[in-house]
Amino acid sequence: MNAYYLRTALRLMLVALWVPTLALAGSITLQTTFEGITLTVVSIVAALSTLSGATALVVRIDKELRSQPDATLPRPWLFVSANMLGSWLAATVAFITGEGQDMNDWTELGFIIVASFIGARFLEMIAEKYLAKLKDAP
Amino acid sequence: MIEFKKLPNYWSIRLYLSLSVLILALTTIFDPARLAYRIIAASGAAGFWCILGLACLSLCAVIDVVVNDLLPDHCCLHCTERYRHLVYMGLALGLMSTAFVIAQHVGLASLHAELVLESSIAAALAFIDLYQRHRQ
Repeated sequence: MNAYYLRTALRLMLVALWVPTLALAGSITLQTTFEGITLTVVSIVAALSTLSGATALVVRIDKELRSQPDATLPRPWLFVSANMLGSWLAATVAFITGEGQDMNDWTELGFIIVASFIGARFLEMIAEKYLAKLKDAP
Repeated sequence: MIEFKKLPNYWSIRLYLSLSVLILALTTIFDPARLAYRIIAASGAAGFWCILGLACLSLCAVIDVVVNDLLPDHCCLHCTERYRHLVYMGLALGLMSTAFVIAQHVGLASLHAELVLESSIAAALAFIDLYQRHRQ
């Protein structure tokens, strides 16, 4: 196997080490956690995470346009999908954790927003760093 | 003679949105008859601080429109212009946060329609403004 692909696979495995953390968050008894959660709340959490991901996207687009005012954004689909996917995944975990721990409303809110933002930036960084290299690899 | 800048064609929407959010935030803090006041009061002291933060953000947006778009060219606030997109995303997040807390306490309420609509407009304005500014 090409050494480049082996290194890439090893790096992906290092990234995947955070999966057990997700499993730990998910080990909260989901049935009792989801009691009392309405569709309205779920919809608003989805909207919040979308806005948080959109904030990360806006920050990135502003940075790109400031550095090169006339340039077009490279791979805009990658930008948007990476931001939104990271944001939604992080918001899901944060919301389940917040409900399971019976957090105060505003604490849970801050947790969801911050987690969504960090999730968006993290997945965008990973996508930029690894997918771009795999695409350009011989 | 005072010369006025050429006004961007969406300054009125920005002014309306900023004033609307400011009034919403102030009535939430000071009007006990409002549903939002009762829910924010029930949710704890942090709620009032967050709504106060939303009010301050909307005041920044109002000042930004007045100074950068309505007053003559020699009056300008570069900091609000530079971070305008973040201000509007902040407004969108603040409005949706209020909607979340209301949903947690009373479920679906008529106030949600107003909050969701204004939040969507604020987010759209943030993106539109970002592209407009970099095009100029």
